[in-house]
Amino acid sequence: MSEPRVPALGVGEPRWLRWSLTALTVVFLLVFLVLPLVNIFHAAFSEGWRVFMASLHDENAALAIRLSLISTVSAVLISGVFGLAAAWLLGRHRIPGHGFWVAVLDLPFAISPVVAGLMFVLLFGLGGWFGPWLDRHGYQLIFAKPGIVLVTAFVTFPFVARELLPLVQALGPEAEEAAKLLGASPWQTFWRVTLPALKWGLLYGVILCASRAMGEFGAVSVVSGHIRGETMTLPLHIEAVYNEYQFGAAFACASLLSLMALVSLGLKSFVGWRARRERESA
Amino acid sequence: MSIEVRNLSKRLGGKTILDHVDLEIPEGGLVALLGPSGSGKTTLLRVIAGLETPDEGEVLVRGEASTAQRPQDRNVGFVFQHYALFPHMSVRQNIAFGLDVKPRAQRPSRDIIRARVDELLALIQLDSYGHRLPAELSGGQRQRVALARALAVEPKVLLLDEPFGALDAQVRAELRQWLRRLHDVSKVTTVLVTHDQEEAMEVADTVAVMNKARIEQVGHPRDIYDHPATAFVARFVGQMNQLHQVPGGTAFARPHEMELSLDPAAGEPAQVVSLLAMGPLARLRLQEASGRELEVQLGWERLAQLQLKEGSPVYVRAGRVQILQEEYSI
Repeated sequence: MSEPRVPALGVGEPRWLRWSLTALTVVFLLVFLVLPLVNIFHAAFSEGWRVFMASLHDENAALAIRLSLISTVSAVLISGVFGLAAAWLLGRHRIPGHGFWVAVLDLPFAISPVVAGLMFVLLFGLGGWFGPWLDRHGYQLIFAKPGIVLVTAFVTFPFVARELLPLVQALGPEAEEAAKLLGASPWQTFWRVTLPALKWGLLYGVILCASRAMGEFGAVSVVSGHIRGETMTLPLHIEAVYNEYQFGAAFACASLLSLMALVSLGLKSFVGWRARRERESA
Repeated sequence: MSIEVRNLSKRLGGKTILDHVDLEIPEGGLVALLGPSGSGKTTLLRVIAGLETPDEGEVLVRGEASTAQRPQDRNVGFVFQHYALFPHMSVRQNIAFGLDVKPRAQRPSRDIIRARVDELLALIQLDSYGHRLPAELSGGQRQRVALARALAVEPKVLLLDEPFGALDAQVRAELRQWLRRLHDVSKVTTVLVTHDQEEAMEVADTVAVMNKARIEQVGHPRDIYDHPATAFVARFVGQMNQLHQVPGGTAFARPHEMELSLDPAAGEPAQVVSLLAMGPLARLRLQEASGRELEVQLGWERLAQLQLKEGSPVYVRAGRVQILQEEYSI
């Protein structure tokens, strides 16, 4: 979130170079980023407003949207709580193998989401380590909703932890020590001193986490089992209807997903700006 | 509240930070822990506060072992070098924090807390700053808020860790005097950590000089200056001329104890290298034939009698010599 400050443009560069570089960048951004996005919305409405609305009101689409929201909220809660705990543990205490654990935080980013999904199938699937035990007790994770939540949380885990770790380190232990010496319990210290200092960073991490969770495809695809109206998230639903040549419906749902992405992008910029402002005034 | 530190030791990663330290702090006293960085003074303060646990030894507060108590139960006020104010809280909220977090049964009413904060704001002369955030205050103001926050809970002991270390010289001198006056009024037992010997000598009524994890000398500032117990204390506190080695130690003399004369029989020959005459005292630097440099302080009248200038030859001897043992370490 620490976006580098861009220096004033072109000190001493010849004018033609400045203009051609600017033009190149603008054209690139338009063709590769803006045009495809605009085109999604264009395609979504190409068969008319009624087809668009019908595609979103379709029972399977509605269930997919619902499941996507549920798994996003759950993943955000899981990686929010554990990310905060991990950042605090690694930022505040010298545990054995410190560097190793910091590197492990990034594991979900390094591993392909498909592989991440497979890992969970191997652990919790019927042929896996814990699968048979879970099955005997009447629980099913793989090819069911809990599995989707689990892999989404796994894939998005680093966002909050990574965002908070440098903040916890920069905050230092002194404010917490001061609170403790003034008689505050550990709980009071956390809620009144630690958390307020981290709140913008936490929110930023949560937004990154949520936007990734909404769009997650690979890992979810592996553990979902693609049961219509049952284990289909919005991205999976889009792929399914697209493969059935229902382009209008596919693009309608895709435009909804894009819209959510744009909203989270806007929120992210706002929160990032607030966080920077707070840091600069501290 | 008297504090007694008994046989305290602390090691960290193979390094000894406190080495069997004993110290008594009388009730109502203002003690300075003075030493170079890395001498263990901050760790000693943090052990007294309960922020660090010693490997050996104990801290007694009014005869009771406090080593087992949690920091939040010790009722000490602690002031950090970098203030450690809560950045998202206003000045008022910062000061009231210690009262706000008390369990409901012991927490004063809102009106009493407000009155107490008003009182403290007046004490630190920041009456109209209550609603500002710490970021909107200068360094000296922030440190005053940190002091008020520590005093709000009426601590039995006030511990200050290099409280003026991050401030510029003028603010530091002002706050120093303010702290002294505050202590004269409140009489809270206070321990101040500093590496600035002038600060320690000016503020404290007892100074404990620390070096390499040990306390080398404890005493009244004047006694420490006049009768340093070790060569380290002699060099660290005030200016000191190192004269020559003698069996069993080194001979030292303070600049004001040096005597100058124009009579060759009255001392060793030397030359005035530099001379700074300001106010009633003149400060001279001499160089002896051996190349050794000496600091000398002279009264204005004596300087006028001798008519010294830069480059003048002069004869110097020490009026009072102290032989102090060097520590031998391999």
